[in-house]
Amino acid sequence: MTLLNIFQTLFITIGCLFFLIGTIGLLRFPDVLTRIHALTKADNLGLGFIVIGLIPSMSTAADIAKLIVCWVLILAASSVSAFLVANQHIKKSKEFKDHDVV
Amino acid sequence: MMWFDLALGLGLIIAAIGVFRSEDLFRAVVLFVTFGILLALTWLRLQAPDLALAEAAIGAGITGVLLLDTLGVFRQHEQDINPRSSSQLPDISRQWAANVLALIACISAAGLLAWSLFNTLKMPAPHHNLVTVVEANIAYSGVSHGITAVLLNFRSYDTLLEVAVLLVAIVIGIGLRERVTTSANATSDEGQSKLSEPPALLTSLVRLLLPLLLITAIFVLWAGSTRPGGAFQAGALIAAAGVLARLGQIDIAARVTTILRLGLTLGVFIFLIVAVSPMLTGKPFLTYPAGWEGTLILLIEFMLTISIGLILLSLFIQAPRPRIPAPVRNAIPATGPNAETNKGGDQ
Amino acid sequence: MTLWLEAFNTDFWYAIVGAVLLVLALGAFITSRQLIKKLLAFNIMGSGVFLIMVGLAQYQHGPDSVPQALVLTGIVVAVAATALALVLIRKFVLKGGQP
Repeated sequence: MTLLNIFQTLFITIGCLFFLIGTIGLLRFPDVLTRIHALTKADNLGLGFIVIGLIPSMSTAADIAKLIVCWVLILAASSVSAFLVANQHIKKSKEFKDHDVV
Repeated sequence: MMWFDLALGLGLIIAAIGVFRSEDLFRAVVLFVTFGILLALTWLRLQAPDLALAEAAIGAGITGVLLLDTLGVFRQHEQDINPRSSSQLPDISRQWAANVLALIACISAAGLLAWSLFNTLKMPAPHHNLVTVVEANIAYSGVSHGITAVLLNFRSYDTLLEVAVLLVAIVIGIGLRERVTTSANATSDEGQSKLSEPPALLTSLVRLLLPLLLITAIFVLWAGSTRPGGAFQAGALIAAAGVLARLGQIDIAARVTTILRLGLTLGVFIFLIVAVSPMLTGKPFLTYPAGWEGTLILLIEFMLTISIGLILLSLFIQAPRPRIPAPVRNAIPATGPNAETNKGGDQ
Repeated sequence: MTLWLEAFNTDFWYAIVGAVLLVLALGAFITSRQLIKKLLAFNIMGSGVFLIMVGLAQYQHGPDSVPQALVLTGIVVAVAATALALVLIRKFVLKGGQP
């Protein structure tokens, strides 16, 4: 077990922990917005840590670039989808309130 | 690693049971998408990266989009019409009969499967198996990736028929759409006005992702001759790009034009030409001339990618949609005759 | 029993999982009343068949490209069939049927 292995194990474990926490949050939080918060945290940080942990085991620069591109794309996709879900939720709850007043 | 496989297998079964047991359709569809992602992982564990790619793009991606879109259509339809007394009581005796039938079918299927699995175990390993046959002949196939060699050389007849099946599906899909459109006028226009203006963030993401997806599709296609990848996965990626473009309100394949029709049939057309042309020189159907295998396979795969992508995309876009509810565009009556004349050039 | 334990490896396990999925989905296909759920059950049934095909073909001599190629075409045909079924279901519902 070299120092590098320890470093990798540490980072991947931290990443997995973030995913675990995110999943627990997704299941336990009360409403849409807090759930989105939990989910995006898991995506961003958890995946980031796992990618950092995996980089030393890649052999070529192209593979490392691919890993990082994957991470960046998932960041973009998850943030936009989180925004869309939240947007729709706010729109829906507003409509509901208006309806209530009328 | 065995524990991982056990957990993954049980996860598949649990996700499937979740799909069957949930009364809410939305929940069932989401669990089904989860099932698809777990299945993609399973294919990786079975050392089938091609299948994992296809399953992730098709099973989890496109099927999920189609199902969710359908649920959206149902919801809109319900709002349009009326909350009809949908709690129609099921016929108790019929339901009971179905349960008994299901029980019998399950028990017999389970028995049959267990029996055949058991007998497979007792069989000795086959003397010569397909793995060695493929390995022995791959040098003559024109490509070095086994699955592409099987799909487009050794068993290309199956692939030809399979693409023909896809073509039949889209012909039926478009046929049904046109009948709907003439009575309910212009799906494409309605689709446009039905969706509200998409958020700027979504359109900019779509603009970023579209070229990337197309490049990835071409890469996957090119990789297919030496590595996991190929026409089906690339086609699925193109379809996914089209669906994304649709979400960003860039309309591809919204109307059935001649160009779209050409694109849909291109794959089968080129495949058939390549298949038939050796017969002119007296060779059997579907033999590639020596030395040209690689080039011809790549040509067919390229055309197939375009066709498969367009077929899957059109099956999504041309699917019947409800008419637009009257209040949104009260200027034109929804069934007015003038609405049909202003898009006569479409078909 | 020893026969089962001897042969038990990753590929065989997934073949068993496929068989279980096939049986469960068959039951769900017959009993469910909603068309969409019938369609989902049908899809899962197909996935079960794919798993059995690949798993059983591979458990003795490792990855085999022939069943994998067959299943690849199978996946694409399955999505086309699903899309077509959805077109029919949509039309049925828009005409006033129950989903």
